[in-house]
Amino acid sequence: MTLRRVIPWVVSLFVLPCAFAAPATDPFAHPVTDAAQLRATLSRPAAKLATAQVLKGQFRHSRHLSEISRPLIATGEFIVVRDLGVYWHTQQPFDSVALLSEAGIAQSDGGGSAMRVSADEQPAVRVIAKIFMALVTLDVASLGRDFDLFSDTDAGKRDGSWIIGLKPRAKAIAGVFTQATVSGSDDVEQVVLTDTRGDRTVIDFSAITYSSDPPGAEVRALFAPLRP
Amino acid sequence: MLALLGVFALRVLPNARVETDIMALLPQAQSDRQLDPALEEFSAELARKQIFLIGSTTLADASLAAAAFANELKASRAFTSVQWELDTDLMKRVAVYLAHRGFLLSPEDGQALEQGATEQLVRRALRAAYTPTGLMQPLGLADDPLGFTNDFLRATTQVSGNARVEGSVLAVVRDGRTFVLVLTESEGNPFATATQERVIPAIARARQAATHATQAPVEIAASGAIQHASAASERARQEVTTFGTIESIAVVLLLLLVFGSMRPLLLGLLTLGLAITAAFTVVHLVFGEVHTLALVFGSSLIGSVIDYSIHFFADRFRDPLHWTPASAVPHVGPAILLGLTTTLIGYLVLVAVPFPGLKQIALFCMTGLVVGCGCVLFLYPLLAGIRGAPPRFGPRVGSAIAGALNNWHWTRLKLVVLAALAIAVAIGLGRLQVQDDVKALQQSPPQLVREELRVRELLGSGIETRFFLVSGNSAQAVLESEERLTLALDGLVRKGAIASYQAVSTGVPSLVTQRRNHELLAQRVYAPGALFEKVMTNLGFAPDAIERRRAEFAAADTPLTVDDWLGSAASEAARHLWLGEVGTRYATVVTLGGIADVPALTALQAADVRLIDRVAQTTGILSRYRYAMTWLLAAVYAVAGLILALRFGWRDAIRMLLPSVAATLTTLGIFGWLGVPFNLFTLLALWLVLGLGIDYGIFLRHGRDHRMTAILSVTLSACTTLIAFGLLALSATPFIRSIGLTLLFAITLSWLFALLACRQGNEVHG
Repeated sequence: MTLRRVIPWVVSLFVLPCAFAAPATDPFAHPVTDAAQLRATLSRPAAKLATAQVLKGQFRHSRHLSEISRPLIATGEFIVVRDLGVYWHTQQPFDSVALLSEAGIAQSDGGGSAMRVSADEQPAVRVIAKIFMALVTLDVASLGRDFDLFSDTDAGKRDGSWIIGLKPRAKAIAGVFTQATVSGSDDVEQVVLTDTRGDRTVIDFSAITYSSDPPGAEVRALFAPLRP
Repeated sequence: MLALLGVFALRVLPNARVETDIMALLPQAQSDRQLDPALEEFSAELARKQIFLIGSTTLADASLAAAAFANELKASRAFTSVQWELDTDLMKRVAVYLAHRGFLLSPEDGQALEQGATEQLVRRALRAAYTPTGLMQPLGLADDPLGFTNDFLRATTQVSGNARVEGSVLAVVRDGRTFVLVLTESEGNPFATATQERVIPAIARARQAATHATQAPVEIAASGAIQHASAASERARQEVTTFGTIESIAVVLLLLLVFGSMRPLLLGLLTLGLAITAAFTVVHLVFGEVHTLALVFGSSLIGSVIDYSIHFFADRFRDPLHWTPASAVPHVGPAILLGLTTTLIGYLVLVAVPFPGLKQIALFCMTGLVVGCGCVLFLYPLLAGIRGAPPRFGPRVGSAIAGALNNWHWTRLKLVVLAALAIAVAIGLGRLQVQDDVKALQQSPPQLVREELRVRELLGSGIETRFFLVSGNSAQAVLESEERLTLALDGLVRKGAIASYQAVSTGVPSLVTQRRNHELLAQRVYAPGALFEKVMTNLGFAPDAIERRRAEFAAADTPLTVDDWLGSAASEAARHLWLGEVGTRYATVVTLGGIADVPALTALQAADVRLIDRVAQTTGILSRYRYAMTWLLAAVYAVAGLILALRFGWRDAIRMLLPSVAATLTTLGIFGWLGVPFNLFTLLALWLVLGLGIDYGIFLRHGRDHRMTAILSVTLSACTTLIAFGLLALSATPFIRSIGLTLLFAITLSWLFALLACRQGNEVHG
């Protein structure tokens, strides 16, 4: 065999494996131009979320800071109630409850008294609460108003998983995070927020249950500290 | 005379300044005069600010409309600042705080460190690290792990009522509509016509632009002093024109009817013109401006000056065939001079009162009267020759009235009725309400008032007119006093006595406080083994990362100075509160929002801390002057009576004074029954009645040998005065309306009583 005839084989040996390896998609490579396609991509989780009044599940909240070698990890349970807000109960490494809504946030530790911060004192609170709700409930319309959306809609069709990218339009939100991604398949599984320094916050959701019934009395009672 | 005219034309007319602000009439607050210029500047700055709320069905539409609105205002160049889009570059805004973060702590954190309550600070740091709430802080975990700077920034956030940050604008959502907030500051004095002429049309154009910027319906609500000022001066101008025209025509017709020739009329107008010109010139030379109220009273010169002219010409009816102008002078001269003297005494007292506006009025009227009188006595003998017989109308009226009076007998029935009326007047006096409230004196068009209320309703807070003035010998002394005050105000906010406050010391604490903060941080937080090291190690930061931050803290060892703060973007919202150096002292203002409990605020006053309440102060001033001037009025009546007694004897003197006094009391009685309030301006009108009423008495008494002419003269005078003031009672401005009503009643009654009183005197003399 001459060298000339070997080269294509050699080249193809290198190329083919690459062709078979799943391309590492950059979620921000494909801006969303067609809202209908995006809705199609998100159709499965959207179907569950459309009728859901209450979502419950477990979370794993990890902070990856460039200066810290190990990520800061917290785990716990959460309840998202439409029109009421988010109940975020951290169980590890310490017990703490945070309630987020558009009116403000309330925090209490270990069942102690709640400390409230009104959204008027810290305007960022309202922004984050709104976005959090929109991210977790995949309110694409609301997200589309405040963010430029990116999605590789083709990739979605292959194995049922999807990933959308968001870049904030307003400077106020850009101060909190410069870009975010939401990914999952049947449910929303992961939200990644990247801030101005490049530090990432990764929130993994699991064991999500959906309920289309309005929240019961015990759930409502959890949100009591938010009421003035 | 000509010299005066010359001065008027060349110097006064080009620079003529007419002041329509009623507050300019009033004297300055008595206490602490040194700080008054600074307060004036602060109030002036408040007066230059406007708030606009541009609303539509969605935020996008409202933003479009607001953008069009703001751009139009900017293009007009009549505004020094037009703000609607927030500068959301947080880092730029807080850069100055970050540079001195080693000295800045929120009051709560300072207390926590001092008390050693570090547990809650540790939890706060952990929560920021491990929960999504950490995302909501202005500074991220790496920049502010313990959250001290974040908490300081939270404490300095200014709350603007119901307005919230939506994207890059401040907006209010209400009734299904979204309103975008546009804050502007106009350039120049809002009460000056030149400024109003630039600003008001710009606002109108901007409203048009906003309405056309989007298909959706647009609602605009505005708040700001300049619109009210402009409406007031527009109305004043209209009224001066309208009333002036009607008055002139009416007076012209009346004089023609009575005198039958144009000459009295022309001479009368000449006299009036000269009198007003002279008055305007003198006042402008002395004060640099002429207030509308002085002009309004100036229109009363029409009444007084014409009175003298009328008296002069009515003398013709004494001997129609052989009358010459020169022969009239000895007959009417003394009466006119006496009348002038008593009226001048009245106005002279006003000059002595320290109200700048009243001095203007007094000077205006006195100059006008003197010039008018001079014209009558010196010019008329030369110019007033009339040929031919005068029309019969005048004498007929005069004789009719004289006849009616002759047939008037004081029967028992009439005395009883008089007594009953006197009692009714007394009761009315008892029911008289005093209204000193300065807010009741000016009234804006309903459209403007509606928009002000709408802005207040939407934003959830009105512009409070009460504020604290803190002063001291140095900038730091002021900050320290202010910190003590804000500590007390925090307590009031917790109790609900006030909703919020704005103070400079929130953004730049006093050096004493800053050094204390620095020490606390050095000892309890950044010291080896202390809070910082503990938390950072817990979170997993490497020792060199901890060391680096510690070194940064040690290196930043200069506190934040007031000048640094004033020059930075962080002080944008609160900069105007710092009055700086005023004379030999320093001062700053603490503004308040949502005041619910005023006594609680008054209780916070101290040596260097004063609660300024302009509205209440002015009302207080008006009240004090009303009280003083009521007594002055009585005193002037006494003095006038004395002069008259010297000339005519006691009985006649009383008879000449009685009509004015009775008319005054009866008018007040009527007001009591009608519910018309009594205020300083009513009193002002009664001063005028003093002069005019006594004139009637004097003319009737002096001319008792020629009853018909005297009566005709007085009646004609009363009519012209009523024409002049009857119209003022129709003014849209409440304080001008009070004056008009008072004079309407008082002059009519003066005339009536004067006639009734002189009748008796005549009977005695036969």
